[in-house]
Amino acid sequence: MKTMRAFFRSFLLMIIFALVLPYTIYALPGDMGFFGGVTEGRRLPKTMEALLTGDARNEDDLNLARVLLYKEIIFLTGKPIEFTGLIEVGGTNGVTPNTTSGQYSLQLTVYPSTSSGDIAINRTAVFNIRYRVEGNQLIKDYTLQDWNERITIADLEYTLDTEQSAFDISIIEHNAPSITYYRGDVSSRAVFMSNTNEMLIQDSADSFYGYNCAWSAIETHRMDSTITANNWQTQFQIRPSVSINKALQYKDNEPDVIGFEGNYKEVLHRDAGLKYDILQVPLIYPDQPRTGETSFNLRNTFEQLIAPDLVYLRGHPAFEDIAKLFSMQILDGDPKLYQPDQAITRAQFITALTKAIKLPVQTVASETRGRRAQTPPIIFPDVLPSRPDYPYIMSAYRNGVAFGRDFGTFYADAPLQRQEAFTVLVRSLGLTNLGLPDSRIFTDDEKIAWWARTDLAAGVRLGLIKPDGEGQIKPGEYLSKAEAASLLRNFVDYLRFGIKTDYAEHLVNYVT
Amino acid sequence: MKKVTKSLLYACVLCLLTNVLAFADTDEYIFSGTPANTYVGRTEAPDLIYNLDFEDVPDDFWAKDAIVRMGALNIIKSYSRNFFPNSFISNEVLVAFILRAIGMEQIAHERALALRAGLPDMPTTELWSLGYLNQAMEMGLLTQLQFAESMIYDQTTLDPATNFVRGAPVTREAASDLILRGLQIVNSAVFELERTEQSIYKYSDWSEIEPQYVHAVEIMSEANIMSGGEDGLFRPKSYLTRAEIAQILKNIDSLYYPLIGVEKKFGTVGAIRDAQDTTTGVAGLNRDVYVRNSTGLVDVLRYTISQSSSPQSGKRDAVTLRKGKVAGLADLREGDEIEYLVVTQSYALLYVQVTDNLNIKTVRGKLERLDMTTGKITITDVLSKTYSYTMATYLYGVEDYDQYVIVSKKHRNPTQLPFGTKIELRLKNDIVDEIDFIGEDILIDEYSGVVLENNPLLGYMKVLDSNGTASILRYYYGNVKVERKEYYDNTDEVGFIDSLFKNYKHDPADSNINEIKPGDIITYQTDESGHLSQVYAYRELCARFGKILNLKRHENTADLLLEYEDGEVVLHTISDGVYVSKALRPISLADIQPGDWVKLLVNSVYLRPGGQLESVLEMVIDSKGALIDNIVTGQFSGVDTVQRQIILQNVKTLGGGFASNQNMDNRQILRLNLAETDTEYYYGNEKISLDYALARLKNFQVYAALENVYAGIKVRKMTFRDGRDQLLNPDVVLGSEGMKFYMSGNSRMINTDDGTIVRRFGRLTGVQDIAPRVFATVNLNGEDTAAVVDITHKPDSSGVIIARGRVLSVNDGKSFKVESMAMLYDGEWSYSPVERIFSIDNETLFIDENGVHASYTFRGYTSNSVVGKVFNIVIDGSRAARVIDAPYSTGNIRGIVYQKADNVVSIRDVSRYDDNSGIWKKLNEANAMDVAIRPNTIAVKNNGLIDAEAIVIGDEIRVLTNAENAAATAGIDGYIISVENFVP
Repeated sequence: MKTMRAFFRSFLLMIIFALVLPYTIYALPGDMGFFGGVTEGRRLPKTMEALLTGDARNEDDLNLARVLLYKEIIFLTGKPIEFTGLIEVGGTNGVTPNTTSGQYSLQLTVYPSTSSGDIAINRTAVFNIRYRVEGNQLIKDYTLQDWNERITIADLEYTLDTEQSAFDISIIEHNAPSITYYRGDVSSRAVFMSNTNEMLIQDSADSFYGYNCAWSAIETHRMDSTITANNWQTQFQIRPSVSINKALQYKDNEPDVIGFEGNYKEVLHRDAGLKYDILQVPLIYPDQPRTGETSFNLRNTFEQLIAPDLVYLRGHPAFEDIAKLFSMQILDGDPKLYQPDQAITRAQFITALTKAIKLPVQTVASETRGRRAQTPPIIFPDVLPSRPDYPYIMSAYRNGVAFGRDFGTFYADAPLQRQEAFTVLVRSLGLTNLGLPDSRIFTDDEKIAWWARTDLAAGVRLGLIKPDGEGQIKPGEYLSKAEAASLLRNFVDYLRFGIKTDYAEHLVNYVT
Repeated sequence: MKKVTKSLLYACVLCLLTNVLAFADTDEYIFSGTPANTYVGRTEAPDLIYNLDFEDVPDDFWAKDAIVRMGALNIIKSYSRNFFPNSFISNEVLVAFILRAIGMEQIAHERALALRAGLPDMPTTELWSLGYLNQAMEMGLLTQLQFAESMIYDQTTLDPATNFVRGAPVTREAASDLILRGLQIVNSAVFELERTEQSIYKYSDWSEIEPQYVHAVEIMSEANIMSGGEDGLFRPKSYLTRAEIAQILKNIDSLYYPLIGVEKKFGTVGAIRDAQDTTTGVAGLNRDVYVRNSTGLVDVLRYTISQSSSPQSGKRDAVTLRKGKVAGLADLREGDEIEYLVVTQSYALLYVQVTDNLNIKTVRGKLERLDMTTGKITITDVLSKTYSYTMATYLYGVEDYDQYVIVSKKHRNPTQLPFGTKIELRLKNDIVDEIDFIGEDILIDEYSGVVLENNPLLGYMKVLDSNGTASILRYYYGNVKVERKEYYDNTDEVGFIDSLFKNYKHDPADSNINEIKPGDIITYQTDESGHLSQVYAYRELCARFGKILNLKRHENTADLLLEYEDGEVVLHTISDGVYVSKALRPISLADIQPGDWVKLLVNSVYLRPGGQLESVLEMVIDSKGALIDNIVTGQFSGVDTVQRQIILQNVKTLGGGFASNQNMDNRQILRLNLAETDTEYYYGNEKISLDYALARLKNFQVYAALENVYAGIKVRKMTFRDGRDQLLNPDVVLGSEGMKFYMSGNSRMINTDDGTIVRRFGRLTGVQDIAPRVFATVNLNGEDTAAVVDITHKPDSSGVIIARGRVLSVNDGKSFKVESMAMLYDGEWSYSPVERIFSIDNETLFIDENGVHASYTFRGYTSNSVVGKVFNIVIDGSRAARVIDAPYSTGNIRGIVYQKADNVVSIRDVSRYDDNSGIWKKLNEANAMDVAIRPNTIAVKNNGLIDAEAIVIGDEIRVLTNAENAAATAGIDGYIISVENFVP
């Protein structure tokens, strides 16, 4: 009895972190500072941290405070001048889990570092942020409390006139099971007085987009700005972008006498930089180049992943896919039981997917919330708490990824159909609404079940699914374990790099 | 006797064994885990089964289940082979039923015994109903008067209308009152009504109900216990039949089951298992029916035959009703959906009813009420009848502190359900197992589809609907109201109905039928004759990104060969009307180059399964991205896999234009970042993987094209080669033939292959762009293979025309006239005394030695008048682009830039043009000179005006300075600088 209580006490801590959190945030929106600058970006939690704390979220992430490398382009002199320094993100902790509304404060401080030279920005901005949760969306509204700024470039000094300046930000976040998307808008006016008694007014409108998931995170801004000085004006657009993603790399072992042949490393890679376009050059510098860019040279970090024993699979075309999934511990257990030519069951696929997208999962003991008398809820008669994959299937059900059939049985051990697999993937991305239900993209259109249509259309639009040579999708056919491994690996790769193209290159490279 | 029964036993065993197999096909996990409850049949069951098989109750009798059920529960007893379902119930019988139902049977018996003991021997004391009637009086169900009346020996003296005649048939209204009161005695809270006396109005004969019974009828009908027939009549004065009372008692069963310790459960038979149990002296045979009940747990219903000397031997069975037949547990089959009654305390199984799948009903009605505690949902139908149903346990509940109900397959907050609107309930065994939202009545018939064809002249349109059928829609031109939303119209200021509130604002969506094009998605309405009356059209767009491989122009269209990001190659035909922009400015199709990256807005429509029609609506050209900023060569010495970098030795740059703070030349070791996914590696002609290069190609010469993406510099294409590097002079390509080409000044043919890095105007393209007349800088590797071909504009400064003139007059802000001017050609001024007028606009810059100043200062009056002054003018056609106040520039000086500092450019190999001799003379011993760049300096490079920043080290420049410095040897002011030699 006593050991049970101690057991539950230790699980209480886990409950606080492992309860179904409506969202798991990695790169908090606005880490870049809303001023058109770019930072190096935070790090995603390592697999080590995720597996040890039982939660795909670093304890550290609950704490907002950070000091990051920072770069900004200053246009106040008429020519773009690059500032390299630091930004400190601080304030009270962010959104409190399991609340429907609340507030917290955010403080952004920009200051020079040793590499700044004679260009310095000293800026402090304090915001009070109020948020509310509506279903799976979160709205954050920023109110400016305080803003001080002084920019020094050699002998020139610009000081912000706080009373005449204004800053407005509001952000909307949307949570899908595997990923959180967000979009924000900033509208600001900064009025500066130079030490030569010149008044400069900078008006900016910034829209930014971002997402974060277990494998990558990115934020890209598009800031349109004009500066009006006494004798000249200029108009420019800055597009900063920070992206963080995890990649896998394989390395063979060199010695022969070693227990495993080689293993994968997970490498955390960051890209941070910005591009700017000067749409109207100021009269005083009429011939300056109209575009430019700057970036950080950031180092990658890495960690080792386990080396599963897959000797029996060598030579199989799906060897690498299966090996990667076992290394990432998305597939668990004895690799020899994963026979590639056998069908994969619904429960096995959903469990692997839940692990792949790192959905928060409640173990059975924590579900009872400390009272053994209460049985965990049984939604599906064939998914009982005695099954080891019960928590994963329940987590998938709760997050709207898988529903069983007609709210009856889950058919957990039935083989998985192709259309079921694709539907579940698109649902976990929350992108079902990208599909037009009326499109008949595939030649075997009439075989597609009604509940899979929209998701399959969305999958095609995203580029996840393609018809085969004859234009078919073969929705009712079953997936083998090898095919499922390949599908999951492609899906994880899509979460690593695929979405990034849409947020980084597509936004940064095109002036619109 | 024992022998007979023993053989009978074995015969039964044989029957059982051959009949049913014991695996669980549909519910594989029914055997896992321990069953929650095991219910065993009763020994009375075999007799009951025989007795309840009434001859006058056919299999499909509407109340058969109720009759058999009530019999199994011993509420309605019957002692003959007939049930007499249609004969009327008398008052005493009703009272007896009610008391049995509420568990008063035993008490009534005891009361009867007590009464009989105390009373003298009267005919009435022999009444079987004595106990019941008396108990009823004790409980207040009957008044004392009523009891007295019932005890009168000669009942014929009584009037059924006013007295309680015990043997008289009960009217429905009286029955409803009696039953209600009987139930309320036990549970006074039952059937509390929130509103009164409205439900009875749905019966057309409501006025016939006696006032004292109205309340009871109201409640009974509201709770759906007694209801009228299909005809809407309640028939209050009709007599209650035995079948009806059985049904009524069944309808209210959930109210009194707890009183008699009975529980009603539902489930599906998952498996049937037979087991034999033998111990000394006892032989037992069990048939266990495994049932997955509605809460998801497993119950076992046990049918036993045991043979032993103990008095408990014999059959323990349960009354089972299956497909209208009264039978026992042996008749259950796997997959049967059952409803079963058990005694909670003793785990005795009383009754099993197999419900057919035909017992799935759908009902529709307006959502009235939902009670989360009892799980009941109430709807009203068109006749304002209310119906209440119990919901299945999985349809509602609490999750994460939030209550939810599942409607239309989604979890919803019970307070946010569509109360008052139509919903559809699917009932399985009268339990709701699905709720769907229907909505209000449909007022308009609206359809939607995709336009395949539109022919306004002939007045028809071909539309594909969501089922894939194409239909023809006709219309009268001019009679159709059309609204079409263009993809760039985001706001609809006017709204759906144009003519509200006298609103005549321009609605950009107003359109006509001509504008509907194939690919539009329309929502339309038709009038009575089937012609289109209203059409609303829009286009669904998506963005696609790709690289242009080739472009071919025709008269009104252009064919664009594109490679999408995922490698798919497509051909699009773009008409001239498509909007193409770059850096926010519209450009023409002619300005698009192969190698450009584009963002397309595409409308995609599927005309038939698999048949896609894509049309391009808009194009945005990537303004800078994917430009190859630099091409380097060096020796490959390794890869850092974690940092994703390539390490090169002895690096030289070949391409021009680097980020100004980087100097790549002559580095011993250089680390370059690889792109994550799309770096290409070649070894000569073959495409290879990086692993191959690591294994075989260390120390080979490598050429790398570097792209400057927003995140820094990344290698886009890398080619390994065997030979030695040789740079050719930049020159014009004279001819090309397949993969070979030759340049002017050199007759030999140069080969190219897939690994050749071709850069055309900064973009990475392919060998097909090496065409005659392009100006290229080529690096050879080996004897005759081109490793790098860099196609650029021929260096030319002649596009920038500089003149110098004396101002005659100024027309403020519009133009000015010069009385004479000189044009600069090749470093020399040629003078002409001709007057010329130059126009000025708001882009004209007026510059003097202090920099740019405002245009209003250039005027022909006041003391600052510019009339008579001489200016350098940069001419653009007939307009002045720049008007610069600078001294007369002369003194041609040439040199190569070797150093740059703030506004000072230092040149070496300096020579000055000697006007007298006409040759360039080397200048001085130190052979170096500093040239200062002033605010009023004109700097020209590549046919364009540039900043001082754009002069890079290695450029060869020609400088015109002012007269004072014409002979200087150390430092001069450069007023006109042109970059002569384009150094890649």
